[in-house]
Amino acid sequence: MKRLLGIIKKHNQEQLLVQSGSFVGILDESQKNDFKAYSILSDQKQSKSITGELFNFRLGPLSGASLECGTYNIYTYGERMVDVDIDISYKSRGIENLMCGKNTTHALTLSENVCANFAFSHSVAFSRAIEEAYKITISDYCRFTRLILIEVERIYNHIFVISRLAMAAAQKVYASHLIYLFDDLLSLNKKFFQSRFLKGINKIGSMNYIPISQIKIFVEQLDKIVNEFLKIYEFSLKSVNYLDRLHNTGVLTINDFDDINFDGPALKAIGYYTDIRQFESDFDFKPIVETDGDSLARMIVRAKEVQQSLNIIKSLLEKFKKDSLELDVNLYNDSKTRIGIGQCESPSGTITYYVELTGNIIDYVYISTSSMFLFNTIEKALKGQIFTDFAFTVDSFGAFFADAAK
Amino acid sequence: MFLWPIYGISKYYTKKKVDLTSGKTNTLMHKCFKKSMHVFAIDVGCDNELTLEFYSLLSPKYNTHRFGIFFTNTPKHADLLAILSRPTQMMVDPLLEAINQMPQPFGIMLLENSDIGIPFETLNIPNVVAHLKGNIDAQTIFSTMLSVMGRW
Repeated sequence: MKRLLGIIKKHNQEQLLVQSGSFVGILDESQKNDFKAYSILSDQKQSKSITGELFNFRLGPLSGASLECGTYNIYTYGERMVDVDIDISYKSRGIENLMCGKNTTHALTLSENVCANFAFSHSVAFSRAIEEAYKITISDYCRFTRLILIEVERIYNHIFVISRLAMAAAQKVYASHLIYLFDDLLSLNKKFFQSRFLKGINKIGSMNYIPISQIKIFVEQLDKIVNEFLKIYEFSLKSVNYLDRLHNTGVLTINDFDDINFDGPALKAIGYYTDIRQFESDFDFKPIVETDGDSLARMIVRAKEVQQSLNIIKSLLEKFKKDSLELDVNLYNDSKTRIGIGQCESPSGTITYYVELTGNIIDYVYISTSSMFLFNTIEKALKGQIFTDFAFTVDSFGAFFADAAK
Repeated sequence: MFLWPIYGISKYYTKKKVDLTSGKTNTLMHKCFKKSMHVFAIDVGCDNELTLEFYSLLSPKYNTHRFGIFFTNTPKHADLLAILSRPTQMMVDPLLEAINQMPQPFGIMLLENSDIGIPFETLNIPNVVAHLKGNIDAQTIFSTMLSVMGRW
């Protein structure tokens, strides 16, 4: 399945950042007609017209209903959402522009500040881009630790998204239990890695040293939390009232993928996948897919991925026998121009960094995040839904304004 | 009917007189919100770390209601406004309008975990009762709120 990941605009020229299978690269602007998502990514969205009794019910940027400062322009006549337009610009911090002119170490810190709950995925995608530009081969220790922590990030993010769905459905006890587990996982991160959101651990070409014995103890405690999650998740599936609110809500089809090019659990919920972990050689990976394409299917994919991530971590630990002290990699600050592309599978989809450098100073960076696509998908999924389905639809995607607006 | 005058007299003698027009904001907050405080947290452009730390406070582990801390969905019902991170340019006006809507007396807690955004110092934000910087976790936010109430 080929996807348009983004449009690189420089010197009044456009290039297309695309992915097809394991290939990720740049195509000429002339091929833009092959991608329907081009019009979405190039901000050529048509403005919505209000006719008849329709009015714009504006939610945000400051609203108790939304955790972040984004705006939902909901065109409605009272009950049904006829059309939706999401404005992410309030959250835009211009991180790509901030990175330009900075050295790679400073830019790595900025990449962690794009979206804290995907901080490690952003950090790994950025460092993979720089490592490709400099042709750095990382050690087994660094590779394995990164893979383990990417899965840890996936576990606590999925539990967070499911807790949001439980809260939307007023399943107070279940939601409180999930938030407790979410906070427990963050505390565990702090205890073992000195950062609740796994910031400051990854470096370019190396990692902070974490002894393997410490990782083993961490995984034992993680195992207990995941098992507790699975127990209460199984119990929640007995609540027909809860499931009924998620079933047939925010349904997507493969045609929506053709139009928008979204990925992650939202795509897996309609039976397809572009998960880049399938190309990893360090563990066996079989993507989890569902077929209904609704909020319930997206939740089931996430819950099953929690178990899958724990299994991946355990299988990596079996292979990963020796730890080693990592030395910092020195990047040449020459005047040579380099280009690199790096990717990482975040909990909500693939993150891609396209980086151009002169020496170790960033000239240009383009960040393609999963949430960029997911907000367009949410607009599509909300159309025709009634207001009570708003939270079930929006929260099931695990999209974040911070990730999309950058 | 007979009990109402007794209730009124007892209320008159036990009610603490609080002058809302003078004194430092911190002292005022201690006096007014010692027993309960309503908090509205607004994200004005953070990287979600602070948002999720606030979300973690809903965990039964912190049991915020036991300490009289309640989260509201609008600044109009809040005693304390928690501003999560330095604002983006587009969020400055909505932020100032949120402050404008706060009922008197009120306090503002500033939280910043990075140097991205417009510095708070340039915005002349009134009634600042706490300013947290750096690595801020749920526990730190919770203990700061208790100290704003004068309970820590």
